[in-house]
Amino acid sequence: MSPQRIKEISVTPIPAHYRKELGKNAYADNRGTQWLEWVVRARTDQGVEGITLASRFMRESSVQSLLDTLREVFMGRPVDDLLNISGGRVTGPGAPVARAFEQHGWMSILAYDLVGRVNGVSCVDLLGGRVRDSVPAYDTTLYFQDFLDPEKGPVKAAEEAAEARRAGYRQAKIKVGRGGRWMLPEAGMRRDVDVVLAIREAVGPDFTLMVDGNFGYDGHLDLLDDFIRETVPAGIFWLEEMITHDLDGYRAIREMQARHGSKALLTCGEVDRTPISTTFRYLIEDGLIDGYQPDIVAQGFSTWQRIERELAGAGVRSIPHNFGNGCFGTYASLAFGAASETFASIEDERCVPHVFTPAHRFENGSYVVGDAPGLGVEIDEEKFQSKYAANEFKVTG
Amino acid sequence: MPHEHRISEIRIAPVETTFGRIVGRNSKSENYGLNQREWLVHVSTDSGLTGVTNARPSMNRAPLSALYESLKLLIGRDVFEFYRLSNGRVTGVNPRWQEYLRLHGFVDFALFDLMGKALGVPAHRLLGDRVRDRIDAYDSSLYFQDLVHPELGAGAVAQEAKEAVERGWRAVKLKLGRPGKWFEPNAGTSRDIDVVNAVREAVGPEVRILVDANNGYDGRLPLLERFVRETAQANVFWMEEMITENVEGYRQLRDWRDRYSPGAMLVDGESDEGRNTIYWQLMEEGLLDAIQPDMLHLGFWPYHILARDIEDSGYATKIAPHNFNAAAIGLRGVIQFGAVTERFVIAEDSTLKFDLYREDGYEFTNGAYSVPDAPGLAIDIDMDLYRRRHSRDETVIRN
Repeated sequence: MSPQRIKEISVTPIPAHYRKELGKNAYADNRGTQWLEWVVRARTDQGVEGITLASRFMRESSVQSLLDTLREVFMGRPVDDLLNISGGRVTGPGAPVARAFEQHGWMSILAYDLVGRVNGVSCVDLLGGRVRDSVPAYDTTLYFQDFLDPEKGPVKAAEEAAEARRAGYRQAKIKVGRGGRWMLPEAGMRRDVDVVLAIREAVGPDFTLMVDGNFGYDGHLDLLDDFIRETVPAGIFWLEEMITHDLDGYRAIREMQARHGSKALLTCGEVDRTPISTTFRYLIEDGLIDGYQPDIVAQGFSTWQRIERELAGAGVRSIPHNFGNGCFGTYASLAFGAASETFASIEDERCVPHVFTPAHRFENGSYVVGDAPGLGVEIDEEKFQSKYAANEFKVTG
Repeated sequence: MPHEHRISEIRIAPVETTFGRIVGRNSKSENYGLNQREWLVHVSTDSGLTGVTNARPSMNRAPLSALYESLKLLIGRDVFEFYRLSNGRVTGVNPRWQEYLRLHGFVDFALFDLMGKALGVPAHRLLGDRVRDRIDAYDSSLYFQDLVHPELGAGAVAQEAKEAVERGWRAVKLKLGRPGKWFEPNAGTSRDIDVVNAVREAVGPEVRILVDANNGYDGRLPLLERFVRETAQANVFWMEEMITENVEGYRQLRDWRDRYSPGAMLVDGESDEGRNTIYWQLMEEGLLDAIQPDMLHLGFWPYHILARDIEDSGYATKIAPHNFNAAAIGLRGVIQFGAVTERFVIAEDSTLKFDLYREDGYEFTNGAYSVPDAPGLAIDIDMDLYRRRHSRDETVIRN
C-alpha cells in the first residue's frame, strides 16, 4: 500500500456548552455558558481522518490565518512524515513538521491521532504505553460562583461542589484570588477561605480539593499566609498559581506551608508558552514546585513528551492545564495521562458532548482508558452535517 | 450656591443582570454570554441625598482597590464644588477636578444625579433646555448569533431581530465584520450580506437597521464594496466602524455609500473621546455623519462640550453615544443627554434585564423612551432587594 497523504483539511467552530454558568476567576470576567471549539479535521487520500482543536490559535488569530497555516503544514503531507516512531513509540515530530509542532503544539495531536488510526494503534501506545487503566479527573468549574448568586454567596459554590460529587467526581478545583481584582484584598481572602471551608463541608472528607489563585495573591503574601493557615483543615491537595512564578515568592510560600503544616503541592506553569523556560526551570531545580502545568492542547503531545523527558528525576508531576479545550482536551488529557507515570489528574470542564462520540467511560471519578486507534474519538457525521457544517471552512490543495 | 451636601459615604456593589439568552461574538471578541454586570455605586451626602453611577469603566481596567482609592477622594467633598454653575446650569469644570473627572468620567453621572436632586431638577436641565420629549433607541444585542446557533445560519440573527420588534423595538443594530476573524473572508462577507437581508425580510420595511462591523473589513475594501452593494436594497440606516478610521478608506466607503446606499450614515469613534485629530479630519471632509464616544466613559459635561465644539465648527456630524457595556445606568444617562442635545441621533440599549430598577419614568413605547422630569437621573432602586441580594458583596467607603 502506498503511503497515505493528507488531501482534505477543514476548520469548524462548534459551540460547546457548560452544564451551568461559569463566573469570574481572579482576573477574568464571567466565562458564561458557552464557548467555541475550533475543530480541525484532516483526511487522507484513503479516507482516514485525524482531529485536533485550534481554539488557542484562534484566540489571537483569524480563520484565514489558520487555514493558511494548516495548508502549509499538512496539505499533501505523507502521514509517515508527521512523527518519528521507534519501537511503536513516538520519539519526536518528523523533521518537516518539527518547527511547526513546536510553535503550534495542538497540531501534533492531530498527527498522533492520524498516525494511530492509519496504523491501528492508540495514542496511548504512541505516547509510550499504558501505565494505568483509568485516569482520575477533577471538576474545574468552581469559579467565583458566589458572585452569580450573591444572596447565597459561598453556599452557592458549596452546592455546586456537592453536585459535582453527585455526578461522580471525586476531585474538584476551586478558583480563589478574589482580592486580586474583584474584591478588596483582605475581604477577598476572607471570602476565599469561606468558600474553601464551605466546599469541604459540602463534599465531605474523602474528596480531593485543589485551589487555583490565578496570581490573585500577587503583592499580598501576608494575606496568602492567612489563606494557607486558615485552609489547612480543608486538606488542600494542590495550591496552583497563588502568585506569579517567582523564586523568592515560592520560597516564601514553602516557608508558610512549613509553618502552618500545609502538605499541599505547589503547582504552576500554564502560562509557560515555551516550556521549560528559565524561571520555571529554576523553580523545578530548586524544588520549589511539585507540579508543572503547560496546556495539554497548546503544547500538544510532542512537546509534552519532551517536557516529561526533561522533568525526569526532578520529582515534579505532570499536570497539564486543560481549561478552554472543552471535551476534546479531556480526551487528549486522558490519552496523555494514561501513558504518563507522574500524571496527576485531568482538568475536566464537564462540557456537554456535541459531535464527539468518545469510546471512553467515566466511572468513580475516573475516565477508563480504551484501546481504540488514535484518540478513540469519533465524529457523529450526521450531527456534524446537520448542525455545524454550514460554518465549516475547507482548505483546498 | 448651596454648600450643605458633603459626600459622606460611598457604596460599591457588583450587580449581575441577564440578556435572557446567549449573546454571541462580534468581529473580534468572544461571546458576551448570558450576563453582564454593572458596578453600582451609591454616593451619599450628609444631607441625605444619594446619587448613583456605574463604575464599570474603572473595573474594566483596574482592580476594585484602584476604584476604592479614586472614590475615596470624593469623601468630604461638596457636590457643588466640581463644576461651576450659573443660573442652574453647569457652565464649566473646577480645574482642581478636571483631570480627575477626565480619568473617571463615570463619576460625573453621580455628581449630576446629586446636583439635580439638590436643586430639584432633572439632570439634563443642568446642561440646557429640553429639545425633545422622547428618545429613540435601538436594540444593540444582535451579535454573531449564527455562531451560537450554527444550524440556523443568518436566520439566527433574523429570528432575534423579529423578536426584538415584537418587544417594541423600531431599530436594531446588527454586528457584522465576519471577515475580520471568525470566518474565511469571502464566506464572512456572504454571511454578513445574508444576515442584513434576512433581517430586513424579517422585520419589514419600517424598522431601522443599523450595522456595526467593529472594523472587521480592515484590509478588505473590495469585500466591503461588495457588502455595501449587495445590501443596498435593505436600506441600512447607519454603517458603524466598517473599517478603522482613516481618511482614504472613508473616502472610498463614502463613494460606495453614495452609489449604493445613499441614505446610510457613516458613524465611528466609540473608543475615543472625540478629540483625536482623525475625527476632526473626517468631520471636515464630511466623512463622519455621527461620532460615538462612550457616554459613561466620557461623562455629561465633556460630551456637552464636544457637542458644542462640533456645533461651533460648523460640521454636520451628529452624536450617537456608545453605551453597550454601560447597561441600565448608562442608558439613562444617554437619554438625559439626548433630551438636551440637538444633534443627538439615537440611544444604544443593550436590552439587559434588571429587576433592581423600578419603573422609573423612562417609559419605553413604540421604540422610544420618555424623558422623566424627576430630579437627578431619576433612577429608582428597589433598596429592599438591593440590601437582601448585594449587601454581602458591598464595599463601603466612609470618612
